[in-house]
Amino acid sequence: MTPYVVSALTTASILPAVVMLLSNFKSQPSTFRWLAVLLSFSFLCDVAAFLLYHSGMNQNAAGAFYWLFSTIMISGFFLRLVPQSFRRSFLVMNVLYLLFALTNIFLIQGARIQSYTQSIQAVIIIILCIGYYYVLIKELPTEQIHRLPTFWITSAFFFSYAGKLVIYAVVNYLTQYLKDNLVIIMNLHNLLTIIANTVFAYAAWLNRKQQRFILSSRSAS
Amino acid sequence: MAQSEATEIYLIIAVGIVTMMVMAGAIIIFVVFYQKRMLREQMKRQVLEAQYQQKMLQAELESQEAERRRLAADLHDSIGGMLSTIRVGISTMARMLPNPQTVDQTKQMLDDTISSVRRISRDLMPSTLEKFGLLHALTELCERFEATSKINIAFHHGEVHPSLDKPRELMIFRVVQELLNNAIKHSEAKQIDVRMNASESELKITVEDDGVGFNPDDFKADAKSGKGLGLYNIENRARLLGADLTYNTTRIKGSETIITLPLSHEQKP
Repeated sequence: MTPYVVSALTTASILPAVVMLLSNFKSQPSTFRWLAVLLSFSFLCDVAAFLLYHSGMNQNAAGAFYWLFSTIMISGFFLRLVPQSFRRSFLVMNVLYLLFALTNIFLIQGARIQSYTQSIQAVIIIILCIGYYYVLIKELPTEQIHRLPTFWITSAFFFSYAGKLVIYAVVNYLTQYLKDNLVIIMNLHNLLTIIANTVFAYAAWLNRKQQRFILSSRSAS
Repeated sequence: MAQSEATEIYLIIAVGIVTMMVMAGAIIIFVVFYQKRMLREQMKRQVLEAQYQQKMLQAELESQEAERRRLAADLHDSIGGMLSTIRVGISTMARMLPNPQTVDQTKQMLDDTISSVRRISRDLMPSTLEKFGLLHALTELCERFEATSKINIAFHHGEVHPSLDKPRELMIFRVVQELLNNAIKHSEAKQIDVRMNASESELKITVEDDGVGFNPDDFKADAKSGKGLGLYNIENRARLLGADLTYNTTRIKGSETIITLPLSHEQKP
């Protein structure tokens, strides 16, 4: 499979979750609205990268744009899942991240792959995931954790960004010193994204099913 | 050079895959840990709920006993006292009448009423239990039931008697009282035997009759209509005592209920 096809598959893998989340966007809790916005944004940035690539322009611009704002959306997803006292920390973290991402674009890595920003983003997401896991263990909100959509979403973030952190940490070294064409590494990255998107789709389906059940039991009573 | 670069890339990929595996493992470990903690919390909650139920039950029974005590005291001291005074008054008036025998019937009715008040008062709160303990109270209870029901009621007991605290003695007394009540009302028995035997480790009380017998499950199923309320109270009291309550359902004729109460060190005979 060519890298082009793998990338196209990766972009397509976002669609099931996006469709399910957008179909009942208004009735969703804010957590899922943020996820819908994030995945839609991710899809649009991927499409933009394709277009830039085909126009002979630097496709990294779309990526830089995605990494600039995606952390805010992911923080938005986690905002309601962790205690209220962490809100200020979320704000500070996002402001600092945004400042660093802008500095990286204009002063450090420029038009190259934003590996520093990506690494920091991965660390932030892993910390947020661990924070949510801690909340789950402390509060035990459900008897069967596998029926909790947010658990699946967090696990998808945790799994994929832990793998991606390794990739982001070495991508600069690979491109600058080993002059590698990054095909294998990018395929690995895409595989992680496809896995995460599949889990997002499952979580969106689970959430939709549970919402329908709640609505039908309410109307029955 | 190219080979070492390829090795380095593969090494990086291997590290990436191992990291992913470790993270996947971490998620699985988290799920297992979560479920274990959930089970532990559920068990803790169940224990707390059971303790709460027990406390509520104890409070309910205590308030019931307090109310009975108050009612018994009111009946005995107030109404009983007034009836006795009235009787003295009638006797005095009778002496002034030309024919004192005319009030004999009224005096007899008053005597019966005084006896009834005393009996009800004693049923509500057995003074024998408070003054002389469980053995004497059960002996008196059996004698009283025998006198009023015309059924042979025999009380058998061993030579050793455990020393229990008053609330526990009262609960055992109530259980036996309820079992005798049930036997008299429903069993159509001719003979009822009450046995009390104590050993080093337990106190065993058996209430046995030769009547029509009963299926405790049928009565319990009927608890909502009030029919099985007696059994429900017996079981609640037994639970509070920490006693084992057994209905012998294998008997062909009559019924047998066995209460086995484990004794702590200080209660042993």
